[in-house]
Amino acid sequence: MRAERRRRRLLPAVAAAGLVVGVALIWWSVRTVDDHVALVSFALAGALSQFLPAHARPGLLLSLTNVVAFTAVLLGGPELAIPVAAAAVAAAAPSYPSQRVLRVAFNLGQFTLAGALAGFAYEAIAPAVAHDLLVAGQISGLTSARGLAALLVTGVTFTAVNFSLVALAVSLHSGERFRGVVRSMVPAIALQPLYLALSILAVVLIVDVHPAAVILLVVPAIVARTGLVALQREAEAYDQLVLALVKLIEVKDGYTRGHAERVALLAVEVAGELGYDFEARRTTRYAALLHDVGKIVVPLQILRKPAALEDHEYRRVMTHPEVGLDLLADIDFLADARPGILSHHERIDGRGYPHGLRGDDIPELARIITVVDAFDAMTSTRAYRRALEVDTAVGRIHSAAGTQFDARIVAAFDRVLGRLSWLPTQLGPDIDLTMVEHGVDA
Amino acid sequence: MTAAHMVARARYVGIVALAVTGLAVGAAWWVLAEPGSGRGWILGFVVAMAVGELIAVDEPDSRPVPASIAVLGAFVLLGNDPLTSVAVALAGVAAGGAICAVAGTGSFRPGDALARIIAAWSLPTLVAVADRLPSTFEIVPAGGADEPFNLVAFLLVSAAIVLGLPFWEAVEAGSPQGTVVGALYGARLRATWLAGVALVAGAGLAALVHADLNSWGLVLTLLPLLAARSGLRRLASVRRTHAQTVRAMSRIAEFVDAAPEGHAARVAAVVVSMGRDLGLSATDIADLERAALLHEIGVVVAEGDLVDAARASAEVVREVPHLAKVATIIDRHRETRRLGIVVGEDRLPLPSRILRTACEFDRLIAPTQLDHGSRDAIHHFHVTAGHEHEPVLIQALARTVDRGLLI
Repeated sequence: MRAERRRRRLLPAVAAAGLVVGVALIWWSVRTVDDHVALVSFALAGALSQFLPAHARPGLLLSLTNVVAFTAVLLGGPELAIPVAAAAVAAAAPSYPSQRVLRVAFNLGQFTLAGALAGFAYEAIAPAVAHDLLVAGQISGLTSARGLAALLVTGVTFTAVNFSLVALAVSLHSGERFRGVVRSMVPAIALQPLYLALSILAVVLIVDVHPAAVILLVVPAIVARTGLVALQREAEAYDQLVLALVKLIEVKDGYTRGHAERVALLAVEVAGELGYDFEARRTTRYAALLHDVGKIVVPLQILRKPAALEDHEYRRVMTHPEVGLDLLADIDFLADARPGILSHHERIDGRGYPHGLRGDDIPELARIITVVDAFDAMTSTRAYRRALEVDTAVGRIHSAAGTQFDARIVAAFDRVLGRLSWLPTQLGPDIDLTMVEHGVDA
Repeated sequence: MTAAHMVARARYVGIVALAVTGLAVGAAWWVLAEPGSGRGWILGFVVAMAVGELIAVDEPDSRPVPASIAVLGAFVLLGNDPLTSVAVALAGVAAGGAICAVAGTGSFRPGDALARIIAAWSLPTLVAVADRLPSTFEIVPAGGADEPFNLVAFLLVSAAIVLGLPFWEAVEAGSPQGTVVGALYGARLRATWLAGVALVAGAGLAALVHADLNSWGLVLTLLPLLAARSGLRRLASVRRTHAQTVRAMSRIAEFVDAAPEGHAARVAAVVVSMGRDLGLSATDIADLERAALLHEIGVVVAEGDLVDAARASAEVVREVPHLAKVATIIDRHRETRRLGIVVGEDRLPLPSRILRTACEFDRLIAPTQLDHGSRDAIHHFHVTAGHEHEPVLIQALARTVDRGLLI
């Protein structure tokens, strides 16, 4: 706890340092640049690029800002890159959801520093190339060995400074390990070579053709953005459709409302704990949301029966994993989620259904859902019994680890529960603890 | 041998023939062209064309648009003559098509080769026309290009590509069913213009940077296209998933034995056809189709009569904000009281009435031995339930049956 408080106290200090570095660099650049038209147009481009970004997926933002910054480095060195970085940060400021002052101060520092260092590196390695580009408008130097080396070092410097500083701040803020944060940034880092390549095209167009020709680069970017923005809308619409289906099952089942959503939430957390990547976590989410979809064929009076089920009734209930699989068979997107739906009632000791699979023969996705489903079922009130306390439910899950549940998944689940209650203030908008708690205590 | 096999074999033979011709033309040109006349960079274009065939830009509602069009556009904008352009197009398409066929990826079809050759033959003419204009619109890249970049030529070629892509698709899609090409063209243009614009921007870019960056230029210009492609492709896949999920949900009533097998899917096919017949707009028809697919999912919780089921279905569908109109159609499709009697604002909306008639038709006909696509089925429906349905709807239904769309 004390370590956490100390860690969080560091944040304002880091931000203040960022502000000092940023202001100093801006001051230096404004005094150094002689082409003020270039300075203003690049700063404008940097600011405008902040209005074009689109999420390729949650957590991965595509933006042209780095293209503008790289172009500025190649055409004008550090003194032109700094205003681009500063303008981009200023333009982004209104969209920060919280801690605006801290973020602006910190980002100003890290982004201008990244631009400046990349610029110095470029000019140090290929002074002749930079000179030719700027003075004689000769591109050929860029594709020489020295030019290519300079491009490489420029890209690496910019990316290294930018991402390591951001990762440091995120790690200070959230308490996540630095390496973990960097790993989560890998997809964004992988985009940097693309940005650098686009900036080479931009340089050629600006120097050799006409600055207005840059529109030919912006048009495909706008098309990509249009697609991604529509994608986001469609993805949300799709989620609503799936949730409507889920709710239909829950209404029929007489479950506490939100069972599937809580199971999905916890299952995704467990998947994250096991190191699943984004796609796998998304698969986990849909498998968990839809795990009981097959129950639509089980008659109401069986599902809502306030007493123990007869044999024939229980057999009817036992068909639901296979029915669910059948119903969702034609949805290509859910191909990877299907094993989780089919096998979520299997047991490690082989006494589950529908196939009596054992141990590792049960898909891991299903083993995750089994644990989380049981936990949420135990902690919710059902037609035939009241909800259990969280500790009692966890105790029962522990005692069934190795027979009903996979011990490794149970351990991961423990860590998730621990994390969710020990670090409540760290939860982002994606992890709504109130929902978990309400479900647990219902 | 089934029809599908024959099509597959024809496709295979087509691709092999194309690959052989393409390679022969390419090889002949290589031998005939003088060394030093730019054989190397032209070969680069052939390779880029082939790659372009492999990376098609998906559009949500149409066939993928191949990036090779951008490469061809760039080649033409660099001032190459029709013959060389055709040779490059043929060689590139042959290589790309062969790789598509061997790897089983991409969306290439032998018929596409014809479209590329027509483009390779006609686009240089547009450039030639533009070259006759005064040179005010010419840009000479400082890097020292052989040919100046003609802005008018670029605009003409762009227009031809953006407007030509959907035309070719409409011709292809329209011919087998005898549908009017003109009607399809508008829809195709709406579906492909975004990808088209990205492609022509890529073509202009490649032509402009070519003098400076040579082969590098082609590689680099494919990058923004790849970015545009990734955005559009994922959009297309979400739309597909959405449609597949609605289809899956449409089978719920069958799963609980509350509807004849295939009921919702058949009703959907009927309402789409009736909607077109009655002049509904494209968005109304899309809503109507979804309403037909989802009109009975409520039986799962209602387990009562069909009016309750319709209400319950509407309630479920209303949970999804973008399906609000669909929910309204479903909600009222079982109301019989006012149907056809009170004419005016109180009357049931047309989509609900269409859905009601189509649904009743399927429920009455499905258990009988009658074929859904036969006149007897309509006659039977007319005799049994005609008094409950408006004549205009029964006529639209009869025409739908005549078109033989419901089997």
